[in-house]
Amino acid sequence: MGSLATLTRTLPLRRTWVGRASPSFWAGLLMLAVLIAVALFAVRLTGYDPIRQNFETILLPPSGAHPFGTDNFGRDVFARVLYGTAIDLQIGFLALLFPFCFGVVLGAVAGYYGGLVDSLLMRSVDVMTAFPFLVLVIAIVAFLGGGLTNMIIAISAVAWVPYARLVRAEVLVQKSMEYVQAARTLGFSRGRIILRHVLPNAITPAVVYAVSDVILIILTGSSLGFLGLGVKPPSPEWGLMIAEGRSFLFNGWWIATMPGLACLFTGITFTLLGDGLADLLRVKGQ
Amino acid sequence: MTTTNTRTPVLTVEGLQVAIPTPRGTVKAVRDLSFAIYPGETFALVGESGSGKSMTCRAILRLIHQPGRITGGKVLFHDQDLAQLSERALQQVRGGGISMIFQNPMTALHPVLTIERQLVETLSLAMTKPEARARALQLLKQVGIPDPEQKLKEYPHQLSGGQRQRVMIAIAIARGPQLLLADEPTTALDVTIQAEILRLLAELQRANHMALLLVSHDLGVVSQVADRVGVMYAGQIMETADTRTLLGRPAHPYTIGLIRSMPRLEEEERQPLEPIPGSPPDLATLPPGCPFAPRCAWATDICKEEVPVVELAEGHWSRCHRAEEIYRELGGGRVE
Ligand SMILES: Nc1ncnc2c1ncn2[C@@H]1O[C@H](COP(=O)(O)OP(=O)(O)O)[C@@H](O)[C@H]1O
Ligand SMILES: [Mg+2]
Repeated sequence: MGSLATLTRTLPLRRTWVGRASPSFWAGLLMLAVLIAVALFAVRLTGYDPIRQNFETILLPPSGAHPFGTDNFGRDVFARVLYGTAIDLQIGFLALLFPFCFGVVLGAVAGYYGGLVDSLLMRSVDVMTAFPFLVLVIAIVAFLGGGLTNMIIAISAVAWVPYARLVRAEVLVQKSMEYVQAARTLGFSRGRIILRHVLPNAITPAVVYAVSDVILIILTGSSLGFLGLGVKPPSPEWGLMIAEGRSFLFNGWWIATMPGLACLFTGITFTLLGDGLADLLRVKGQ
Repeated sequence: MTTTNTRTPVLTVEGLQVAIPTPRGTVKAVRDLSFAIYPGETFALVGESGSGKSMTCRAILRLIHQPGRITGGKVLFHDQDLAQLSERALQQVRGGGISMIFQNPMTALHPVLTIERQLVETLSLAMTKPEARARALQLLKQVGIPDPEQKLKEYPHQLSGGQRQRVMIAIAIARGPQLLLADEPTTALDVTIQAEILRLLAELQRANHMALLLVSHDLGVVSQVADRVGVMYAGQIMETADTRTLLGRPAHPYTIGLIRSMPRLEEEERQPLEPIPGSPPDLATLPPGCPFAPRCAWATDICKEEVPVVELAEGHWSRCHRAEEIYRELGGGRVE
């Protein structure tokens, strides 16, 4: 195993990330490509309107015409799941991007400069972690009011905490490494060392975490939709669909199950991707 | 070494003090340290681990980790006091005027950048990118890396320990510093490679007329290349002299202890190594008097009260009450 690894590492192909990526990474990437394609081309993939109600096709079970069946308003569940993909991916992406950037910057500054900045930041992190994630998000959404934008703001205000923590811890490790010391003896400024040397190395765990965090954030978005605090009906957001389908579990199990499976698929996608990425970056760091 | 004294030093350290506040008290890692290094000269600091050698190097470039700080003294680079200089001006001195290499070549290079990137980035602080690329190759040749074109494209983990240290040296001398601080540059390497690296440093020093501060816990390593040696103990220089004098006519019991604990390969009847009994003092709770007294066979009552500085000859002095006595007794003979 060891000798095989060293042998393959010396082959030119293995030096690039393409050669080193694991099967789970490729599977995850392929599934993500499917999700993105669905999000972009939902209109082309179905003839049904996801919003318009049709009282002639209420609660039809899955069939050739309606592969995922229809809901209590006669809307095609397959169409709604397809259209929902864009909404949920958007929530996952935006509500991840902001807290990621915010957390990474705060963590890096706190870790590198230390002292008062660090104490203040870590104290506020402690306070934030004292509350359950969803409780804080719900409190903020309740204060700001529902809707997509407010939901993203609320998630961002809470979700940066683990990123700040991870990056700070890594920066502390990296900062004490000799190569960072060496860079300073060579006359590089502190700012440049953080941005170009410490951060690129310290960000790895945060990136890996982010990939698996996507699904948590999508589920949070869905939970808020479910609680009536997120995206409003009749939007085909998956969480909202599950909430609406809940009362028809016995005479229309497909209404809640199909968007649930879509959530599951997305979850598996990002788990595989995160796993593969972790492997890839670990090898690189050695 | 009379010729060197007529020139002006590259670096003069005067009464340097470094303190680290800890819960147990203030650790005085460097205490009243003074020495000078002249152009083209190799000055060595030798002492057991924990004696403050690395701290001294970092203090020179003002790169001491918090919460440690310089609490007194001057670090004159020519006539600029680095202890007072602005951070901006210091960045010009670091790498440009004074460079440093470290003990562990495994961790002192950036793990995910190619050798070329690391060299070029350092060189770009002083020249344009294309110039830097050409110079990078030239530097690798100069430090004796085989197949330098190929090695430029590789990552640190693809090189051996010795090659990595050579690359470190190339990066450190890239901008032509007048002084190189080498903190245990060979400690992490195999014995055969140690000798090669020392030879390389000596060569580069001659070619570039660069002064070298060589730090080591190993008097044997130091004696091969240093012009003068300062023996450090508990943050102080206990004795300093030119290398030949220091080894042949030491005037401090600690120096004698170091010499006796040095393996001597060339000798017919090999003597058993004699480690110095006891251990270094706690730098947070130093009593007055000589810090070596508790481990010293020559110690008398006065040693527990104060420490003199005794000058034995030009450029040879010792912090010991009985320096003259020891110097006279061992005069001319080898330390046995
Ligand atoms: N962060 C720290 N806290 C307390 N003491 C320290 C710290 N860093 C270094 N020291 C002390 O400073 C002294 C000098 O250390 P150093 O310069 O690394 O020694 P050397 O390089 O000679 O082995 C040591 O005795 C060590 O215990
Ligand atoms: Mg050291």
